[in-house]
Amino acid sequence: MSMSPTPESILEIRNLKKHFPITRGLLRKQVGVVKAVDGVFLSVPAGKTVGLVGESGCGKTTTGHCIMGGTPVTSGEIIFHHPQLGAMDLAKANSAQMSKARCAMQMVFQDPNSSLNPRMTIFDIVAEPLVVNQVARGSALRQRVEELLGLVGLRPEFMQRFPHAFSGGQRQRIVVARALALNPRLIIADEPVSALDVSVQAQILNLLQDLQQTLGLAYLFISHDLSVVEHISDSVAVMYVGKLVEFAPTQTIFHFPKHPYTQALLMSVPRPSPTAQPRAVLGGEVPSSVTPPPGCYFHPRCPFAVQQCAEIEPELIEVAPGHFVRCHLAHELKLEGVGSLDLSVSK
Amino acid sequence: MAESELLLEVRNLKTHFFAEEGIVRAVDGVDFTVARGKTLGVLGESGCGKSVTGFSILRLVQPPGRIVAGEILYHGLHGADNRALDLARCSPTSSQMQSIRGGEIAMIFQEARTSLDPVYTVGSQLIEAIKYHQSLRQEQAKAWGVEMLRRVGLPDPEATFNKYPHQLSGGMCQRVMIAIALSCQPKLLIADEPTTALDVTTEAQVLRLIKDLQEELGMSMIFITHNLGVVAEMADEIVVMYLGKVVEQTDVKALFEDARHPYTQALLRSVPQIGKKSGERLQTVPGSVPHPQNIPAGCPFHPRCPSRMPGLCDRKEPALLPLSGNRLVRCFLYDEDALKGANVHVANT
Amino acid sequence: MNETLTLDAAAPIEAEGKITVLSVRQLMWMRFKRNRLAVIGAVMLTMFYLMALFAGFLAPYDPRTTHAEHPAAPPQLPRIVDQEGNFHWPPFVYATASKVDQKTFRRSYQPIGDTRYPLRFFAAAEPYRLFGLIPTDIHLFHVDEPAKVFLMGTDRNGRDMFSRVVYGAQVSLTVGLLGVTVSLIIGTLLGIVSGFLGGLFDNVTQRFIDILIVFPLIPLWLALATTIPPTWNSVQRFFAISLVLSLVTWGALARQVRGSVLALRETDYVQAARYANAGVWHIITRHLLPNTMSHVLVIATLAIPAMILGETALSFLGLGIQPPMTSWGLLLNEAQQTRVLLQQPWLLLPAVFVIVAIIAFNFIGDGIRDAADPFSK
Repeated sequence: MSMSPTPESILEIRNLKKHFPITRGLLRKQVGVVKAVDGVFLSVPAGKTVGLVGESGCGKTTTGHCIMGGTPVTSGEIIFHHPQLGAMDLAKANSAQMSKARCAMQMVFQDPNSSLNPRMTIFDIVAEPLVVNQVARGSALRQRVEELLGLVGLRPEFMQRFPHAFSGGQRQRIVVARALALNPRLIIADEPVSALDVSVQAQILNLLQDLQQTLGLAYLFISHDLSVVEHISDSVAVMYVGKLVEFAPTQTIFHFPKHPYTQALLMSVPRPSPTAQPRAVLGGEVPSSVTPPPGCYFHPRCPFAVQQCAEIEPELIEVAPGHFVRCHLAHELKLEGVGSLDLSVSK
Repeated sequence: MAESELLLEVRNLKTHFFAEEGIVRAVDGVDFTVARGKTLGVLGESGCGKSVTGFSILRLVQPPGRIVAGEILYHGLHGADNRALDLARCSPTSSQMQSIRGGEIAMIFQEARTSLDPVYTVGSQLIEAIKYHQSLRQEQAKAWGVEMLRRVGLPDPEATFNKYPHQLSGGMCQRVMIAIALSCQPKLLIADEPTTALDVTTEAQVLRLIKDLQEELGMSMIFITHNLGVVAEMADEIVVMYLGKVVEQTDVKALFEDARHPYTQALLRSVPQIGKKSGERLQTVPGSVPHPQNIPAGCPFHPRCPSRMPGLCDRKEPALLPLSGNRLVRCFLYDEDALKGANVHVANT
Repeated sequence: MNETLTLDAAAPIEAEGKITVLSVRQLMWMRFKRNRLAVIGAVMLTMFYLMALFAGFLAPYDPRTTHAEHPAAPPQLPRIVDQEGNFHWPPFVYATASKVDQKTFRRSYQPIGDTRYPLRFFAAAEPYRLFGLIPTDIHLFHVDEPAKVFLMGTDRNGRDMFSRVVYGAQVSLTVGLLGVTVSLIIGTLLGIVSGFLGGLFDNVTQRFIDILIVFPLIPLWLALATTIPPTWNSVQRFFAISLVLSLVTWGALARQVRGSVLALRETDYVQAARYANAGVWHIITRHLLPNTMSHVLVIATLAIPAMILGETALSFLGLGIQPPMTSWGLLLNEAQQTRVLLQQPWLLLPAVFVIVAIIAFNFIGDGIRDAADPFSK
């Protein structure tokens, strides 16, 4: 598959794989392998948002950590277009290159309770990337931290306080401020609103969108919540058991999905409307990434599966410009998107 | 609602926690009724007291928490015409309460895996629950247990019966929990966020299962959740809770079409809906849920309310007002007497 | 947008009251204070350490002075009522003399005459050096010769037990602190490094600790203690003994620290620091150390009693502290014979001090453990 490299894309992932060995005993004998990420293709345009969705254990978070260099990559390419240094392959980058890349991309974590050190003040937390990378010190540092806190809508007066004095939503703002400290071009947001109260989620989503507009950020937005992903993303990637199964612009993927799993996901989202059609229920269980089924990983649960699906692993194909699907029947199937659902709240 | 249709009535329930730092009024005046065979959805964010309400009904609130006021009238025990039993007055350790727990009212939780004992097989936990409430022999109990596992849709129930919880996925653990909860055919199931820890496709499976079993067994349900989509799918009637109080009660259709309380309205507006990408910003509820030890005076929602009326909402606490169409709202906007008396104008709504 | 944001930022904080703006340390102190037993333990220990610090001032006699006329004298508490029943202040003692029963050879003490010898407070007596530095001769209390004040009796050489216990506290209470400090340094360092780096280093360290831990404690102590050259003086010996104690206990501490580092290493904030290009040193000093410190403090506090007991055991067996230095264990060593239990039970009083000190340390340890995680309910 060739995902044509667009000049304006900031991140391109080609056939990324991350396998974890399973070891047993004193001698650490390898007895198996977890294919956490096993064939991910992605392209994040500069200043845009790409949603990465999938169920727990599908490898979406591991993908994020692979990009950040948190774990060595098994194979594949992660091309990051550094604003100053140009294209670099993070999958093969050494630690010096990686630390340069990290100045231009940062991560926002899911749980703001565990991503802030309880023993550090807000100032120390937000200043940490600036101090570590020797970007600023003294009054310049202070000024930058104040500016960052203002950017995320927090009062700078609070910066001598500790994280436990803040609510969940405010803590997530602090996490965003820290991620913005080094002026990154790309933010990997790993479930940034999942741990928050419903009434606070919208605040953080709006904040992320505002920051995107003012700072021109690109987001890789990892989430299991399809409604949120549809709201915030320009294009969406769907993962299933470590593999990318579909990648397309948001409107296309939500209204004209081409992969049966995407359709199943869309159909199983609970809709806040009592008149909506009952959700379609996908049978079966997500297979383990240690012992995935042969052929297409989705075939045991797929209502459209044919003989071929159980035997041959499908490749990612481009069914329309910018629309990639990993399915043997991608051209034949007529699938329904969310538009088919009765969503009208009126009688 | 006719008396005979009622299964559970909660009147002015107050459960407070007497912590060293001060009193936490986790549940502070909750009223609702559960009709036979129907589902009451309890909707609220963290700290609103929705789970404590569930625990209070089963008398599972641990010290320093205790029920300080109110009645929990259970109509299921002596037939419809008999007097109801007030669970709030039963001793939590009495044999009556223990036979009600599980036998009459069962509960399932968010984290199914941690609710199951990791050192016993699924089967032995199931048999324990069955034999506690029914005098069955070991073989009968086992046969019934396997039957329950089959009914909750677990593949190969005989094999699952001998498995340990860690050998099952999260969705399967929740199915086992449901099997245990329903093994004694309770009349009321309290489901406390049963699908929050599950993925969407599994969630859809489990919710469908709960609904099917409810229909089959004709039981009532209290479905506690923070998820608007889930509550829309499951509930017939909904109470919305905020900081220990019911702010709105109505049937599910009316709630989603015409919510009255500013909190409910804001909540509905702030959630993105699938298939409705507009590219616009979401409407937000300003601020965050206050700490339960520092509940604001007056209406607890007033600091975040877009239509708050200074001089009224921050002073007096609104009562739960009956509106047309069998709905209740706790807001001064619908209290004409209070509006006239206070002589205030509604701030920019 | 701006309005909602400032409202959001300000409202909950102001509403949440003043508790929430306290630092973690202040929260911990608040929780510690709430544990009554821990506070009692802290007060008792403070008194013990003050006693050790002002030993020369508190003790009426030098611990090495032998009162040849008064061997094995029982405790003699100052009185305020004389033989006729009259009340006197300040408290006084009678001078005593010993008499040996010709048949049983048991020694008994009787007052001689009814001259009262009042206690003299802040009196000048035997010279000593306060804190080992300032030469002075002021004692808290003293009586004039020929009377003696033996609050806890004397040993068979006629040395005042109270003075010996007070001086013994200096050794017994510091040997634990010193030993724990050494094992804290070794344990924390190795624990953090092996937890954070993992891999081969971790494996080797852990196996070494395994070997260390499986040795029976007392024989190992004894073996190590016998390696101390007999030519060393008592101060050198004191340091050697605390080193012996810590060499055996650092393993358990390192293992606990490693455990908590393994958990912290995976937290999002350490991950975030890594992604911000923070080096190993930064992560250890800013994230791992501060967050393990409260845990380490608990382990350390609970390890001190074991060390005190270790010193007591070694000295009891004659391999620990050597005279002329004295410690509680050494004092108990002199009470080994059964005759003591029958005829001079007061020689066992140092054991009471050991027990109280250990209970106090355990109370404090429990208090710190409760306070260590100020966010738990």
